[in-house]
Amino acid sequence: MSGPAIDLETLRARVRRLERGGRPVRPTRPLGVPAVDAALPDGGDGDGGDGDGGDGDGGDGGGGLALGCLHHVADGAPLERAAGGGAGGAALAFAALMAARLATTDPARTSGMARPRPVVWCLRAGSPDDSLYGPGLAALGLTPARLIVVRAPEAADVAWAMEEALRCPDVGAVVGQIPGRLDPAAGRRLTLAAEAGGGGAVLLRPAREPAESVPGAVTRWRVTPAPAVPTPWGEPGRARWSVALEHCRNGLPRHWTLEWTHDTGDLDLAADLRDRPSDADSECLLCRTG
Amino acid sequence: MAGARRLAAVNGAAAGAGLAPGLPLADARAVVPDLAVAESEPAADLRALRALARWCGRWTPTVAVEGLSGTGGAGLWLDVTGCAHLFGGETALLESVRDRLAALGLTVRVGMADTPGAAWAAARFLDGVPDGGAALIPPGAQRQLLGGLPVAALRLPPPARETLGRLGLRTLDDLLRRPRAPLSRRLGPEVWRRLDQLLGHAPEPLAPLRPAVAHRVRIAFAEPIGRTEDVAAALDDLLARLCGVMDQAGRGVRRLDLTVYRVDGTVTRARIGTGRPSRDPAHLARLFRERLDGLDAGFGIEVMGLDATRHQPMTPAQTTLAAETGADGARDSLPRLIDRLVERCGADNVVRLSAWRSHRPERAQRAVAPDAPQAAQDWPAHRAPRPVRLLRRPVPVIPPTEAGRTIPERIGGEWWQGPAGGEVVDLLRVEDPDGARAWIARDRVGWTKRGVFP
Repeated sequence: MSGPAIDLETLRARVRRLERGGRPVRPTRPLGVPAVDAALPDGGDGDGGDGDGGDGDGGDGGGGLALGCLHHVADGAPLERAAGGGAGGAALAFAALMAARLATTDPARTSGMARPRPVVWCLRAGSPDDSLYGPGLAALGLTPARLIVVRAPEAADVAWAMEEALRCPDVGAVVGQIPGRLDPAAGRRLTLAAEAGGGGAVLLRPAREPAESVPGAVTRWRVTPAPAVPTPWGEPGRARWSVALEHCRNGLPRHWTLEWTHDTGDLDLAADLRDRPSDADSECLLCRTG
Repeated sequence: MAGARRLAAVNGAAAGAGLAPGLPLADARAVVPDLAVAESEPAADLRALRALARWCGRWTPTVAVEGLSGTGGAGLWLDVTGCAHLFGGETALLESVRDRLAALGLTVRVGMADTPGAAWAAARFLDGVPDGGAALIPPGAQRQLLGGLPVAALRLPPPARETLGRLGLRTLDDLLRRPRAPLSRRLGPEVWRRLDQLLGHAPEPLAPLRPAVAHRVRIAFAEPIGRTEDVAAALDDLLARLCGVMDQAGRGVRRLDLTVYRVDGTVTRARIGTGRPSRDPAHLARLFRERLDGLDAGFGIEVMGLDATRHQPMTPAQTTLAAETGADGARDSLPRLIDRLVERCGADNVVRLSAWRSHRPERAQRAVAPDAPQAAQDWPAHRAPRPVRLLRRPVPVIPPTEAGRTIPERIGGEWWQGPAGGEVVDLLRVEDPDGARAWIARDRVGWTKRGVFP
């Protein structure tokens, strides 16, 4: 049997919050791409790192994806192309990766090892999104042992299931695909639930023009597939995603082209961009205007 | 007289006119020309009897149905051992049974005795028990009070009854006064067995409609209730008591049946299950919340019973630290979350995607319950990448060009499954000019999209 039910982490968080005069401290988890993590604020709200920003991979970025709040992933693949009307592969995979990275224990607290925590994926039963395939998700880090899929009968039940799962302290991250229009209160409710439970919430939605903003979300990512560099023998090479951080609380909008290597499970900057000077990716419109 | 239509049952007026079950219809019509007759429906009668038996669960959990095929007509057995004090004693219970059933418009005869056989005989044959009456045989008094009853009170098949009649043995006392050995050869063991069962010398187990439940609590209301809040409050009370019982027994609930007995003699049930043994009233009440909204109180609820129909050993709860952190900080919060999700979304809709031994992509994945043992299995390592979405219905696509496609991966059918094993398909990973990747296949129909890649 495990130890007493008191959660040491909760107590520590409470003490830290008292020390900071009531402002919540959000622990972070690195996405694993140093360039991206550097652009994300660290958990201490710019107060300087006290080791809270679980920088386990030894990257140079101080920040990472914040726990206890809501992240919005906008699926940039046009609807008619997204197969069967469901989410596009790039955005879905990015959301899965985010959830897998959010749902890890802090390596500093668990003897140097980042242990996986459960992820709950909520979607509506019978919708085009209700077609998750385990082997592909396992390659992104969501193994069957940690992934629980909730197929809610109605759209309202999806939001309800997300909220319930977020309030559960055992759940590391929750991914939700709420079909149809989003209730403006839903974003704030999800944020409150995530704050209560301490896990990360990822809301995956089709992108709209103009960009829909989810109230309460601390980040908005727009993920679109990008053409890969074919291999010399004509096969498609590593999958490329065009990832735009369109909105980031306490951070600036940025844009990257990321490359996903299936064989190793690595996400990194696209190879031909990686060695350029760091301002090379400011070619994107967003950064020029932002 | 094969093929003749006979009376299956008669009411009081018909019995008064000299009609009895078994009489040919033609003879009956000769006696009472304006006889009102309805077709006998044994199956519907049995259904009604079973429904009544379920409702009788308000007095005791052990209710058995004696079918129409039995000698002496249909009836219900209620094993009220240990239940009488809940109703103010045996006499009060007997009157309660009689009055409640009479209020439903039934003509009842009730008998209560030490043994099922004696109760059966008392209800049907005891003098001074009219229709709508009740007879209580005090403990150990079967012989004095029932000795004068006809031998038909022994539930004997017709041949045995005829033999006894030919021998001049008309009452139970006649039988009891005779030495057994000389009669045994002519009568067979059945007569003595029934006699012993009546007197309590031989056991007679009942076959209850529902198996006996070890852990059950009930609540009866002075006035019928109907509002959902009242039902919820009563349920809280029941849950608190049941959890106390389970705590003492060192067991946790896996499945709970709430039985609601309405005033109009009908019964409705609500059932919840938990993924892991539990005896936390608050958690169980939350699981019931969805069910209570759909519960139809009808004209009012007079009794509610809560049965732990499935339970497991459970270590005693640690009350010190867990209580401080509250329900949300409890150690098993993930199983509780799953219970709540299952309650709202259905058991089939809260799943883990688990590996199945098949090389067909659409069959390699099975949705299993989150606590199923095979859920922890990992996927076999695939050399070829697998999609993140596998479409339920393949979507037709335009054939891909040579550029940006992979060498096909040929997947054969499961020939041992026969035609259900699927056809041979060639699967290709392709990338469209924008970079979106899909899994497409060519079969007899043409090119279809099967899955979506990152």
